[in-house]
Amino acid sequence: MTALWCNPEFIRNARAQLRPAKVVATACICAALSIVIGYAAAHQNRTQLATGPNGWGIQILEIAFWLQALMLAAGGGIACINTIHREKEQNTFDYQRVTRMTPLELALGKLFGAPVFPYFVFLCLMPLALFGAMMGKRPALTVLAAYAVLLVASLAVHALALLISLLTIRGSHTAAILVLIAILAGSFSNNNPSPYFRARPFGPFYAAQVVQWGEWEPAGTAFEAGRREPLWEEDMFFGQRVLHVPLLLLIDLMLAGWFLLALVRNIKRDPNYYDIYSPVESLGFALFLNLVFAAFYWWGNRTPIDSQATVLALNIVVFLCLGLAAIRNRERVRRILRTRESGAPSLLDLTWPAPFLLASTVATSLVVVAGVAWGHSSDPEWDMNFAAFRALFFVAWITRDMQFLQWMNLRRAKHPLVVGALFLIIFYTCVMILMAPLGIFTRPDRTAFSAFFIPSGAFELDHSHWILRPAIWVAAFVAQGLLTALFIGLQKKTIDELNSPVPAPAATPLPAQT
Amino acid sequence: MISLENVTKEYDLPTGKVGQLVAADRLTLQVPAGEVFGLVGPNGAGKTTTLKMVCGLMLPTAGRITVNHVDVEHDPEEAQQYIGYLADFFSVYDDLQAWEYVEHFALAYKLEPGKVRGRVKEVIALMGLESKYDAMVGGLSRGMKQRLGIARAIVHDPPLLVLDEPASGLDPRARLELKELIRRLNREGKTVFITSHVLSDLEEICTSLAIMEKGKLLRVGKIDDVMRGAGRTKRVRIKLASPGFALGAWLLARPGVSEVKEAGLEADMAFPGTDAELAALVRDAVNAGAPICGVEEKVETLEALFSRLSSGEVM
Repeated sequence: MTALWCNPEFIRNARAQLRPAKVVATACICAALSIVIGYAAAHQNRTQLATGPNGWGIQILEIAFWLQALMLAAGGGIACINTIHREKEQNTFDYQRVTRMTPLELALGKLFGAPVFPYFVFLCLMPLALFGAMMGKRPALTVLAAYAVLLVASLAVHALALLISLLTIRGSHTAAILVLIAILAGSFSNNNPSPYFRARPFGPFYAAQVVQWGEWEPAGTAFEAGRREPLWEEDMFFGQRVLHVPLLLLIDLMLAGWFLLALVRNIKRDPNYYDIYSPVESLGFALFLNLVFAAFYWWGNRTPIDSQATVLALNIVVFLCLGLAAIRNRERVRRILRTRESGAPSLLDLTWPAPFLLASTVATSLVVVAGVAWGHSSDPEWDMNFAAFRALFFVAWITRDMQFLQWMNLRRAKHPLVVGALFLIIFYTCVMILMAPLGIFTRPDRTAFSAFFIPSGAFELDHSHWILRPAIWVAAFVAQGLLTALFIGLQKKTIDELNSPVPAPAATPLPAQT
Repeated sequence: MISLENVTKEYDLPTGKVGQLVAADRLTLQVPAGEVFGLVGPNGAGKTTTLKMVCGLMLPTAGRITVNHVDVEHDPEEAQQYIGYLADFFSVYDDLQAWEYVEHFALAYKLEPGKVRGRVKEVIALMGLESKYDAMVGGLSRGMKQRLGIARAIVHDPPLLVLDEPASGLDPRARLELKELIRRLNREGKTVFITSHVLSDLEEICTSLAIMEKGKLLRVGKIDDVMRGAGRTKRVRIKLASPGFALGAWLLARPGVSEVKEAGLEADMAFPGTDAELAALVRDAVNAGAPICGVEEKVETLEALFSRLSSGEVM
């Protein structure tokens, strides 16, 4: 593999984005901005002047750092979202796909090349930040830690943005940018503790908070003498106190690695055959996320049912993404059918993705149940049987919906998956609207009926709910299996249609051959 | 150089129509090294799809493609080192200088770093773009951009050039230059796999030809064989000096003669025999009282042949 500075894609991006005139103009603007910010911060008011360099220096550092964070995380992320999408629009992407660059080289070239201009602006603002740090007498280690956090977390954001850019279809570019902005906005940290997780934020903007605190591990988080429970700000990994910054670097690097893996697997592929992760990799990613959920969950702050419901709800998002990634389109199924020596689809083809989802959701459920058991083993409300039943509902429910989407995606339509997702949204909206006046969510004796349609009722299942309607609970669970079987049957019908012989061509070829 | 074995590519027909479109229907084709191989067909025949599959940009629904004995699907990067590809659309990086653009691809094709600059200068000179060496690509004319595209395709000196409609959008002068360039590259030993709508251009530069329609190959072979229907049928025009002889009816009664069209004192026919057999036929006609004053073997243009093939007039 070539070094980054010799990577053709990185060089191309650097040449295109850092033309001498543009570089000079940007540097001048940043210099002017730095002078203005510095002067304004130092002369904002009399109080500011009175605090001396120590006071306004910190303010300059904070402003400069926020600008750098916004430029690198948001600006770089948007640059990454634009890059592959724009190349596809301009028809230049195919030329990159036919070169001898390996998928890893191409992905790394884009990962560091696409946001090269935001990196340059980041560097241009560095003198102002360092000046502020020196005047404000911020410890070098703190500033270093803040930059490490910013760079590594931004890298994860850029890798995710590139992946989104690769997968974005024509017409969905604006939505992709909005998704990225929503993710970034969600990573903004504030001073309120999370009621669910004993970990501080993992996003790039946490770096700004490090600068603000002046310490990379704030002193306020230290154990107080004579106090048994640590303060909320501390990161607790399976009950053990851990330092946030090294942990954040590790987790963000791992996330960047997962996104990069998906990118490398697909960047040179035919877009009709994108396969974000292999089933084993998907399972690995789901388990990695669940390990993070379980490790940092604030078990002592919630009841066992609440805890399990929250982690399962988070897994709905995880498996929605992984399930959508696993779903096959008509092109892929057609190719599988045509390349089968027997000419007939296998059982796995007919039932896909149910086997994969069953395996991965069961494995995930085991982690979740084990996590809840570990966090609540001494809780009188804890009941392993109901925890397992709740998890099984989750497994059945995810499999049912994903099987529905798989069937929809094999139907002939312009955007079959979008239509399928829309149907699901309409279904859930209607169900919730209809159930509310019937008191199905509020009256314990009626909750069991909701489990036929949505899983939220099942996530709250305990002995008191069970005893009221045991037969309905079982029927609701069986219904999920029957619905999955129905969607598999419909899918088989669609696959049979796809596997029907192609009509004979009108023309007969001449046997002449060179 | 290129081998296609039972290559099939199926798509869905546009929404609202039932069935599927077969862009390539069990194509089996060999393109030997050193050929200029033309692929001819109307829009939607499957030419671009075939070329993209050869380059590894698109996976076939079924079948196997090898380039220089390397399986394109299983080892695309290995196969792609032998291919220089030019797509049927204009697409260059407008924000680079001409030399930067070519150098980017020289590096991407992993040329030895020490030889990159020299090679970039060489191909830019070959394309006649020396005066635009430092110019921004965005400011070049359409023809120049196309030449730059070809420079990109040949910068790594591939033995195979895959050119999809390279003449589209070029003015007559640029098309002439392109034809000359393709001939020159072929003389240098490169195999060229080319599609074009300008059939007369292909007729001039190709050594072999395949005619494709609705995903199927109608004819494949050396260009002379394809033009003559693989050497089996001549198209002959017989002229009479005066009226009074039913030449059309007389010809139709001869064994092997077909596609007779009579217009005034002339009759066209398809004759499958040798020159000697044709001479015997003419002699028989004269003996039967036909006042023949001229016999001419018609040289059919590729356009005419393609038109007849695609209309189903002949197979």
